[in-house]
Amino acid sequence: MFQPLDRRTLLKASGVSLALPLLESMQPACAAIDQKPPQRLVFICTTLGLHPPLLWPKKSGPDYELTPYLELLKEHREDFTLFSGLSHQDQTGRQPHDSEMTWLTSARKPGMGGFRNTISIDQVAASRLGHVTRYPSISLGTVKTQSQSYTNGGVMIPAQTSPSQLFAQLFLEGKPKELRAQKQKLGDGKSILDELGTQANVLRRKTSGADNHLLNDFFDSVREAETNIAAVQGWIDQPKPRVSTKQPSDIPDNADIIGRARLLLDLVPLIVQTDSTRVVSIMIQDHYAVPKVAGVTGNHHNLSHHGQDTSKIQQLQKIETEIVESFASLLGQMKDKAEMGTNLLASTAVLFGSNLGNANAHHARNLPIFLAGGGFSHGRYVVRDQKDNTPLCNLFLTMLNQAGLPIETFGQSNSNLTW
Amino acid sequence: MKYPAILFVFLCLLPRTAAADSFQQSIAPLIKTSCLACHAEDTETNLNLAALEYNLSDKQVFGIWEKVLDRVRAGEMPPKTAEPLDPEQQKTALNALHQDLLAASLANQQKVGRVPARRLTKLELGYTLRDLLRIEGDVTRSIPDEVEAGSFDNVGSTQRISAVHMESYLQAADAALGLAINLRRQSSHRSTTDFAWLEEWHEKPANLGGSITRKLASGNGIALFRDVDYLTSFRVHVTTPGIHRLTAKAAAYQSEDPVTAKLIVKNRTGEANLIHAIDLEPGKPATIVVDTFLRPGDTPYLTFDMGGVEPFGAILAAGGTKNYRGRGIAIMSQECEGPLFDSWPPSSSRELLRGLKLADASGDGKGPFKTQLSQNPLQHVAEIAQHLAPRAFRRPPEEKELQPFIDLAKPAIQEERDFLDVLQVTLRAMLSSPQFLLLGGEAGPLDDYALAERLSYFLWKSLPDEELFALAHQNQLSTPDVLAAQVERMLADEKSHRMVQDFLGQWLMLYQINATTPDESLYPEYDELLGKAIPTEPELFFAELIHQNLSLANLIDSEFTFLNRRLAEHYAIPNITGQHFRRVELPAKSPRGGLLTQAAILKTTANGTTTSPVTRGNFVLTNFLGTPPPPPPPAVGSIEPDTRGKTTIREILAAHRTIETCNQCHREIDPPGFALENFDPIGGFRTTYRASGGGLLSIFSGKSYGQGPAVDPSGITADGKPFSGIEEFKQHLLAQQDQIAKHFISQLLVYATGGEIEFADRAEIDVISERSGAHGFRLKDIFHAIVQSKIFRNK
Repeated sequence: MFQPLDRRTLLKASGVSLALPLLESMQPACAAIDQKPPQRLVFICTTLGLHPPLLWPKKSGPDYELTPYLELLKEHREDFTLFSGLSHQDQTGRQPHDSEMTWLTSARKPGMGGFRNTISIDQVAASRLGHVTRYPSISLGTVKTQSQSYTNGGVMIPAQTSPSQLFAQLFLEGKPKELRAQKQKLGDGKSILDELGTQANVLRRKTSGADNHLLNDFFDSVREAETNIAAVQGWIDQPKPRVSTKQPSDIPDNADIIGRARLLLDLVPLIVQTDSTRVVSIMIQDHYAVPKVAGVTGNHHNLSHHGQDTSKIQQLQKIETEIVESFASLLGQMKDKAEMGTNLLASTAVLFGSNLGNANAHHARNLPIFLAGGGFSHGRYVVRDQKDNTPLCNLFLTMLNQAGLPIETFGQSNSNLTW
Repeated sequence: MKYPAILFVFLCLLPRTAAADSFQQSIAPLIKTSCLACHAEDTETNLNLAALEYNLSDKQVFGIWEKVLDRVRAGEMPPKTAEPLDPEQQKTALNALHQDLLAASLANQQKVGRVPARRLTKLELGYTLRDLLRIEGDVTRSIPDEVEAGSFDNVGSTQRISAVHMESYLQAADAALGLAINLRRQSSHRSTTDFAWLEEWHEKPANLGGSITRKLASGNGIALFRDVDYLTSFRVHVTTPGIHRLTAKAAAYQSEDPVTAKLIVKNRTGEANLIHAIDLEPGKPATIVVDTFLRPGDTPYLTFDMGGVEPFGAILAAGGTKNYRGRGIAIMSQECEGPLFDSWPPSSSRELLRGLKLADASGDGKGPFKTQLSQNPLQHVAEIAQHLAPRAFRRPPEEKELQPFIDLAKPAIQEERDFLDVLQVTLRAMLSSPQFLLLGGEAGPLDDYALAERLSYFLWKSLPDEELFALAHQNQLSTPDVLAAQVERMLADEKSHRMVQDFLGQWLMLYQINATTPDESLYPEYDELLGKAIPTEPELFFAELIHQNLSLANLIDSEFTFLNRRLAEHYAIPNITGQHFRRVELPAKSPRGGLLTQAAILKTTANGTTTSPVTRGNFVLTNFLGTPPPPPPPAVGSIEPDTRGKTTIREILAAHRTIETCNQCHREIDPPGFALENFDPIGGFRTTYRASGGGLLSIFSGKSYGQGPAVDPSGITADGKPFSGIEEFKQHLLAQQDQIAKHFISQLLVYATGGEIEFADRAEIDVISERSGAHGFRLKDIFHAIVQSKIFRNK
């Protein structure tokens, strides 16, 4: 058996030098008796699917043959599982791309009459884990503030799109003056919220006969926002982890969607390793942009509606190749970072896939789903019924459980997924 | 036969109420004889009547019985294959069910009111903060977008408030106050472009971005030959966000045709928005003046539309721009002035900081200004809060209601923080309070303040103005004549355009118009100018119907529309000059007229590459006729479009229309879509499809697409009437005008009140549509009728 390393050695070995003092809240995770690294969850969605003929192998099990996209991942063959036949039911939305809202939630009929989204899997995990880390979760997006993450009440948590700002927020200390102003604002915010809670309650009592769901919502949100502020106040005086990596520069060009996605993905190992959060969601998309990829002249969305036109499919393949390669690169980086006798990937479950099974036809069945790391047994292509799909939520549930969260159902799940 | 037994068991368990009696006497017998054979517990349908309670106070159960009533009444049930109902028995049963549903619905409305509590939408909050604090610019960017829930976003039952909202409300209040209170030194300035710096660019090699400008022979200024963003920026360095005035003198250069100048603002993230376009007629230099809101990091620049301009090679062939004779734009001067304020400090600051003396630290009138207190700070805070509250809360505050807000400032006063800091604590709280964010009220008739509030959020998407507020204060507003006069005044105010945009954005889904961008090789003619022109047409068209009080039949077919030159070209309508919009009478043979044939709707209902009769048919049924088809069964296959030019969408659809289970719905869904097949994904008229990849002929045609099969726009409506294309189909729609009007009125009522249509509302909607139908469904009449209706005037 190997001897568990102390944290300092460990971080040095992994190429990140953390200046002492360590984050206090890191201590439990590191000083735990069994010295196990925390379990993390990362969700990556590419919203326009992956062209099915270039992805799916014919043969299932461990001996699946390499298709053009799987070829790109062959180096990591033993570190991931590919699933087919998974989906959420009832994803025909009001808009054809409405399933972007529900990939991590599985709420039915997105955008149709009376639709309300439900909590996303990353937020279930984040709410269970709470503020043990500086951020309970981090939601990222390549271009827009649209994210995969939805609160308990089905409200989207806006995505951060700037890698440099995220880096500053996680790893750079603010100037004393800024810090003071920030603290004052938090203090004001807290007393304002406290009063707003009282106001909501007074109004609620006054109008007890009427429909009060929004006042209730208001009251609960105020309390939750107060808790969030308190947590932020608790962390604000804690020194941030110092890392030797340089602050990335943002790519201003929206069309360089691949470059922007890579910058975000490159931060993931750092985020995870410094235990800044244990839950990350990332959305890769820009429907309008003509991605800066050699040989691509059409915009991504239009190419996904290729209409079987081979020249469009060729261009689509170029874009999707880059996206799959960024996933491969992330896996490589996670494996390169050692942690407590193993590597980062071993304690990080990375889900990569799409809310669309076939973008040309806009359908949301047979979704492309990769699961890497996280301590699962990998190396196989797992095929579920192509007509009568297995709930994707079964896999979500299994991921939550594996991360140590004793949750019994999530969304449309009807059991755990085993393979 | 086990189901009757179950029904009887269930009937015995019913409490003895009026509804239960009528059910047992009038409804149950019919269900037993005619429904349970299919709708009992072993049913293959979604409806099991044997297990359905008659508990009409349960919202869900109510909905099911309502559907039963509607389907039987419409003759859809029992199916034609089953034995018809006994007419007497049917009449008795339907009457009883109708009465019970009405009683239950009314009881609920009387108890809690028809409209559930609702909050300001993101849009309403933005306008409210603007009008309340007299600021420009959008401060709601951090607020979550409204989520689509199948209805209007102001309907309270589907709205949510989360911690994310709460935090963003505080941020928005902060940003709004930041814009409103500005006591810094006045930073306005005017700067003029000096074109001298471009000298070196005129002959710089093309690969370095040069060789696309030249010096004007006539003196100061340059000619630009390419649509680029890096040579003709206005000299502007925005430090304070605000309205800036951009002025440029420009002319068509070496052109026989008008040259379209484009004014574009690029922001920090690289996003570029076309804010103004104008046609420069040959030989007529023009001065362009545009006022626009700029934030730090924004860069405006002037360029021109390249439609019909030769490829770059022509400049090289001419030996550089000096000798080039092709078309371009001449720019004689460029100037930026701003931020513009009516006074300094801006009136928004003076208005808000009433009671305080603002002292000029510099003495030259430009500031910076310092606040000087004339009493203790808390009293100043109280005075300001009391002044703001009636408008912010849309009613006079109750006694002591404001005290807790004012008291919030105390700790900051004790800490001896700057007065503006102190004040902001109270104001932020007021602008994030439930009083400000929620629209409530008690069940029953709205009082005058609540009526003013509802009216102004309906027509202006914002808070009542002074006049409305004064009328409410005098208890005058609820007088029908006064109310009608206010509706006239408010519709004539330009703020009503917010309602036009928002109502169409949601009712016709025009907010999604740019959810896709057209395929560049299939639709190369789609450009920035067209993209800006397309959404403008329905807005001006709809506004005209209101202002001129024209018939709603114009929504189906009209003899006029609104066009500018670019959109007229797109529609192949000649002799429209200039990029401004104006009313145009349509040529006799034009397929346009009405909303459905406007490019905005045609583009919204396409995906940028192809059109689908299913999508468009669904749109017509759902948004126009109000008869949405049921969603496809779960296991149904999707349609995979094919643009290779061999198969048409009709052929693909024909396959599923031969399957009876598919055809049941698609005989309804597809025909309106077929009729619109003559319109491509950008709303152009077509008689043949375009095929991707130019094919062999493209070498000669120079086109980036090929010719596909011919379009077949004919079809047969679900009730068996044939049509040859859109013109005849519009006639069928006109025959259904009553239904379209009724749906429109219902939609407008939902939007006006923020509450869904309930069973008890049906009678009044019938009255409104009958009365307005008697005068040809004139649009402004409908607005008046809605505002005067009981539905609008009760909670």
